[in-house]
Amino acid sequence: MSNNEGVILTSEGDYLRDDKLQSIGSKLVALLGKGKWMLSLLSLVALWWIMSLYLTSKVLPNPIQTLKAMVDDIGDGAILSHLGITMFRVIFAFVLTMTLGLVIGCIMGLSRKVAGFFNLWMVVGMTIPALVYIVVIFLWLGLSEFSAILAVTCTTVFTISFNIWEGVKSMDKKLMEMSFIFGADKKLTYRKVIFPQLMPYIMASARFGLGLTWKMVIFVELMGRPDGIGFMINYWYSLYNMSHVLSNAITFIIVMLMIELFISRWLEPRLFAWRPKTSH
Amino acid sequence: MTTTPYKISFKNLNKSFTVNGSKKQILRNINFEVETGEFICLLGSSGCGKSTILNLISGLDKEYSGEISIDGIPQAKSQAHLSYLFQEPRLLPWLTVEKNIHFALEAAKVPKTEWKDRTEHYLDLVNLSGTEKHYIHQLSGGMQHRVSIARAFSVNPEILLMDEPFGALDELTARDIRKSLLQLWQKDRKTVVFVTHNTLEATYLADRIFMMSSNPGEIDEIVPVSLSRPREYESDELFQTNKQAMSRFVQISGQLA
Ligand SMILES: Nc1ncnc2c1ncn2[C@@H]1O[C@H](COP(=O)(O)OP(=O)(O)OP(=O)(O)O)[C@@H](O)[C@H]1O
Ligand SMILES: [Mg+2]
Repeated sequence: MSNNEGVILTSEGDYLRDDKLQSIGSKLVALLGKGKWMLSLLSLVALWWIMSLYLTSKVLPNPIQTLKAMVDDIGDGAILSHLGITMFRVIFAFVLTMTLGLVIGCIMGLSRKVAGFFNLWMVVGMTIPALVYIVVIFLWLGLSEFSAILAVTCTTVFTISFNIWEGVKSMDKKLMEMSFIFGADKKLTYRKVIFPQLMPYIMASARFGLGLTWKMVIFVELMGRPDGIGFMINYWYSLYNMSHVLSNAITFIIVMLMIELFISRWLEPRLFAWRPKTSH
Repeated sequence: MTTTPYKISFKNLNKSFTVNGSKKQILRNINFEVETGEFICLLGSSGCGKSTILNLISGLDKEYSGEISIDGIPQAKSQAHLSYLFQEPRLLPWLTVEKNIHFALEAAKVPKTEWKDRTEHYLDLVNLSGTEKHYIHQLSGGMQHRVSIARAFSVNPEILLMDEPFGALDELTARDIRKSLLQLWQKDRKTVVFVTHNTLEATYLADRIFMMSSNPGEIDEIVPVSLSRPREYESDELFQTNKQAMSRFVQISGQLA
């Protein structure tokens, strides 16, 4: 049999062009990639199931029981309104944290004197445990919506400011000089030179901040709010109903995962298209 | 009788940097004048203060003693439109090649309707047509330098400061661009201050060569180059003139003494 270049003999004896074979190959790899993802999820669920076999359903209900509880919860609609309230708090606290973080970080970055003075404050702010913020703010300002959001903001804002400050400090002075020489005004310099340099720091802070914020919101709701996912988890916990605890937690985790995936798979690749691709 | 002022003039200029608390004089008693439309080369060995002089002319560096004037006006008040080709490309990596040039055009307040033509024209000049949509990291080092050359020219400045712009290019490309640079310059006679440590480059390009020595940096001799233009790279006159310039330069910088 002749070995023509670009032509490969398959077991059935028909000829496939090389490029065709390659495209099939790449589809297969893509499918396997998706398969891997599914496999990983399924094995996690399997592990859960196996564990639930050894424990009573009061301690760890199996996935089916949890799914039933979830259907119940979603069916009577309560979970959605609690989810909505929690999401509102997350978004509000997150926007507040990012805005404050950007402002504080930029001010620190622009003046060495200010930074030198407030550096210690920032470190102290980052070190104080979240629980202390929550307790102190609830004691001082009462169990209100405002104090809940303020408490969440306090636990995250120092770390975010610190990150943004790092970003401002690491800005390239040479590019600023270039911008000055070409006579760029403030607006153009901000848009095309400063903001793009801060963008990676802003995005990293945002992802970190979002993750911390939603965990804190749940915690604050548990401690001092009459609604929200955190409250519901606490409620079912006090009734010792594990399947509803899990159903609430998982519903919320799925929503947050979606947001996280949206950022990492859709938003970031578009924002950072200019960067050289790192090989995997 | 009124005379038009010099485009650039330095009078009794001294400049020092303070590093770790100790003051070091970098430039001593620099005096020179550059006429409008002149092509000047600053020739000196590494570290003698050539980039520092360009930073002073451009206003990036504002700490000095002495006088710097542009069009007879003190540097700080000057509105002169200048362009600076840095030793490194200093492009914006988050913008494509064409957007990098648009940035300079927008900064210089060039009407948007002209952007496309100018970008095409100057990219063509540096042999980079077709790379408009590339990001900076997709270009080679030499190509990045050429983009920054196109960017500096595109804003059509009165004064063009160039800091060893062809150092990173291969000799053939560099020759090509030097030739285009001279053609451009002969068309609209911008004032050019061009930094180099290559005497052949200096003799090929300059009307006058300012030869510098280091520690502290001084201008020791101003050598006029009287060769007619256009100049030919392989010509005997250029070769002879370069030889003379080279021996003066060696004497001044005292490297072989
Ligand atoms: N910001 C600075 N702070 C302190 N010293 C500096 C600073 N910038 C330059 N110098 C010093 O000034 C001297 C002249 O520097 P400059 O960059 O002008 O040299 P140059 O002639 O352009 O050299 P090269 O050909 O290597 O580019 C050097 O000795 C350098 O160490
Ligand atoms: Mg230099």
